[in-house]
Amino acid sequence: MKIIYHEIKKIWNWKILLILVAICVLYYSMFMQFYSYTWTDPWPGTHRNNISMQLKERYGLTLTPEQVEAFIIETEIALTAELEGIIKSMSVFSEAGVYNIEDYAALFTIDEPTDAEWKAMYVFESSEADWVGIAVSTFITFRNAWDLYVSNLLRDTVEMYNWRVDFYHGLLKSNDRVMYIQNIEAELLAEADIFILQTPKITERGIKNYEEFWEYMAKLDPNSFFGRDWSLLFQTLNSPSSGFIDDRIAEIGRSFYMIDRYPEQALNRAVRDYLRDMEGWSTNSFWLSRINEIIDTGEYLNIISEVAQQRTFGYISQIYIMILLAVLALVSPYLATDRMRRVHHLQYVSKMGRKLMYQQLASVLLSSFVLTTIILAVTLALFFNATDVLIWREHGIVSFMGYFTTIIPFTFGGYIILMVSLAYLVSFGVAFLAFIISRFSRYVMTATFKAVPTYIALMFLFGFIFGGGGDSSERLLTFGNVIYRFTGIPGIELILLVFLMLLGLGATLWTTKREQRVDVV
Amino acid sequence: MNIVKHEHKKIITSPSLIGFVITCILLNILLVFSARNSYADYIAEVSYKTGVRMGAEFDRQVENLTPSEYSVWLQMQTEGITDVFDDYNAKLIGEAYVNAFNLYGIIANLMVDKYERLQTVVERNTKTGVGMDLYFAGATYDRHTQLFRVIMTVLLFEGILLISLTMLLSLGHEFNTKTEFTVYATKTGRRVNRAKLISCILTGLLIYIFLSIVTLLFFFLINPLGAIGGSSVSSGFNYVHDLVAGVRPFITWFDLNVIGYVIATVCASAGVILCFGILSYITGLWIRNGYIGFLIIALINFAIFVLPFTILGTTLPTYFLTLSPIWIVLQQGVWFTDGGSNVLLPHFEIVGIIASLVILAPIATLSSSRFKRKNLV
Repeated sequence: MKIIYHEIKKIWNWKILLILVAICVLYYSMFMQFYSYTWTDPWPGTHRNNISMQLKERYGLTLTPEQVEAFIIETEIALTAELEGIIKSMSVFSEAGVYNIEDYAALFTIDEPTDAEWKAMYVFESSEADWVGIAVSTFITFRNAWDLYVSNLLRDTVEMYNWRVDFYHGLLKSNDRVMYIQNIEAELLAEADIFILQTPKITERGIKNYEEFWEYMAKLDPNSFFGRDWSLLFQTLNSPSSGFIDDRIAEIGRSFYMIDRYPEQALNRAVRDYLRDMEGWSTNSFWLSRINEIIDTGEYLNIISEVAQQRTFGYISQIYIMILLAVLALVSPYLATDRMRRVHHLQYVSKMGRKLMYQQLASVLLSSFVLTTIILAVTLALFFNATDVLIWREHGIVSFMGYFTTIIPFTFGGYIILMVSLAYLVSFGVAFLAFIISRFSRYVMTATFKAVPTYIALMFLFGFIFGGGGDSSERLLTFGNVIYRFTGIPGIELILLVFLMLLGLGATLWTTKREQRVDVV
Repeated sequence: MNIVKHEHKKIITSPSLIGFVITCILLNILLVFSARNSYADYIAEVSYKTGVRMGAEFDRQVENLTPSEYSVWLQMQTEGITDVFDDYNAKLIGEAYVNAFNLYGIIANLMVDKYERLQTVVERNTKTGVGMDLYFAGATYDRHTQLFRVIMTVLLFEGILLISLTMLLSLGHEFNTKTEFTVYATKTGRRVNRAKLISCILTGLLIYIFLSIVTLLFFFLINPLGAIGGSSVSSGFNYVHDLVAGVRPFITWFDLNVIGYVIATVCASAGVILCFGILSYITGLWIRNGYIGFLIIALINFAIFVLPFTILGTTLPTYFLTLSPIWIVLQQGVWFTDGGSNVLLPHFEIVGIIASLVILAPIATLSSSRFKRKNLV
């Protein structure tokens, strides 16, 4: 143990540590601090977080569809009252002839608004109205996410993919393509008309067929606060019960566009490229079973803060970069310094002999463990102190309110623990690499020649494995992860990480074993 | 010169350096392959026939091209196109920056003045009609980004790393091999550092030129240029995008075509690499441990990057610092243009390189003098 202690003292060079601390402080202030200090600013993120908080306080971990509907209606009433209050109190509205919420909604139907009307239309998005417009648009996003979540999950399934494949193959084979498309279109329109007539939700609005449906929809604004008709009706016509009839009719329009745009020679390739883009998700049986699980178990009804997810996981991704730099920078010169000074000659003639290298390896691993712990402790303490993300620790992260879908269910706290644990795996892997670089470098500077490209390569690799900073949807163990999308193998990121670490361990042990017999003079 | 030759030989026979250069070449080849764009290749191929200046004659030539998917795209993108510089007011960009960042006093005046001068360039461009140059039509932004913002930037970083590491390796060689007491006791003594400076600068620049030639040759072999080399980079299809001024034309102070812009970028990169070489020389003379020296260089440059706008805000010292070598590197994608909101002066990259050399050269001389008198025991 004494030897390990002294070897650790050699690794922890105070000059290198001081420089690393300075670099880490600068890195934190530039790339990490904003994850926490904008927590209370009046931005959409704050409002999204507020919605999640309200639901959490009221319903706990999950909610039912009825509770979501009740919340939506209640929030619409509250926001309407707030908007009405502002309209009555600010002269900018009366100058534009707006005295209530209906007058305000009517402004957006005017073809050429006057200056006073323009001003009234957008005053809600200003500090004069306390940025209430941001709260409204955030609520609309929440409402649309709820209305469209399930149908968006289900729409590109294998049935739709197979339908498209059959449709386009038929198109390419037919002698009269326009006639072919027109025939299919007529069949689909008839099917849509029948579905509409059998759906009270649509017919109660006086709509009798597909053409009238879209005439009605054209008068609605999908992002308007005033009424949910657009998203509710859209969802109805793009649901499993309708066989995604609207999507299939939209494909007709796309096919007309393709035969217009691409000359004969190019059409085959264009269709092939188009179908290939869709194939990934549609025929991925693991993805299909996972989305069915999410819908059947109601996992999508978890209450979670999307903002807490983005901030926390983006922040932890940045910590990896810090750990990578710190471990590599601290360990790379270690053995090279001994070799430079020919100290290893003295070491190898001692009683311990060349077995010292095992002690040196242990020192490196211990150092990287301690360094990683310090970095994690300091950075996470700063983050958790400035934010309240830990209140979500027991909440499931897959939700219609969230922003990514994991391949297996996770709680927020569980995912954080996973990412923090993997930081140690990363740290050991980097330590192995740095150990090998250091062993096979004659001077410290030649170790640097090897360490710099290694650092850059590892940054890219870990970027692919863990997803980048910010609101990246390519996170570890999610369907958006780059490596997963490339290979289609669930959990490939973890497998790759463990494999690389074992490879590093194997290479290090081989190096250490080799050291027992090579000629060092 | 003998010493320079020997120092040079010591560096270029270093296995680490050779390995580093090979790694750089492999990385660059990977980047070149990721830049493939068959539509851009098609445009390069037909550009000999169509020419690179859009207009009636160009439209006629495009109509006569063999019908294909790409000929249709080219026709759709170029038919009836108008000159982006007609009635374009560059002064509005300056005003937008002044308002967005609450600039005032001399800073606001310099910013406005820069865009007033840019307006004269816009008027020149209108007369010469460079806005009607084809470049790569709809594939311009991707191809320009891949070549000038990715590959040239990567080459620049490789050059900087090479010259810094080489300089520190060379200067620290006697320290590493424990021969400093012998070497510095000789008649040539500490003047050997001058030989190291010359050999490292030469090596760094030569390797950078070598890497650039190999990479660019490979790039243009895989992604042919055709007649597009003569097309202006200020084509209406090329643009920059920033949060304040939005999407706007890519306007170079000099009238540069693609080949000219490549050459100018390589030359300016060599200037920046030279600055970093001298900076590494200064650091190596003060700090004998090359590794610590390298970390110090990284720290200083990182601090210059992070601190100005976060601590100093939009003040004159900040804008001086944006002329530092590291800031010039980070703005490589907009060299020879107005530079956006981070710079106040036209030709910021040239001004920055010259200013850096003017500041670093005397510091290098003083450091060298100090080293000659320094007690090494």
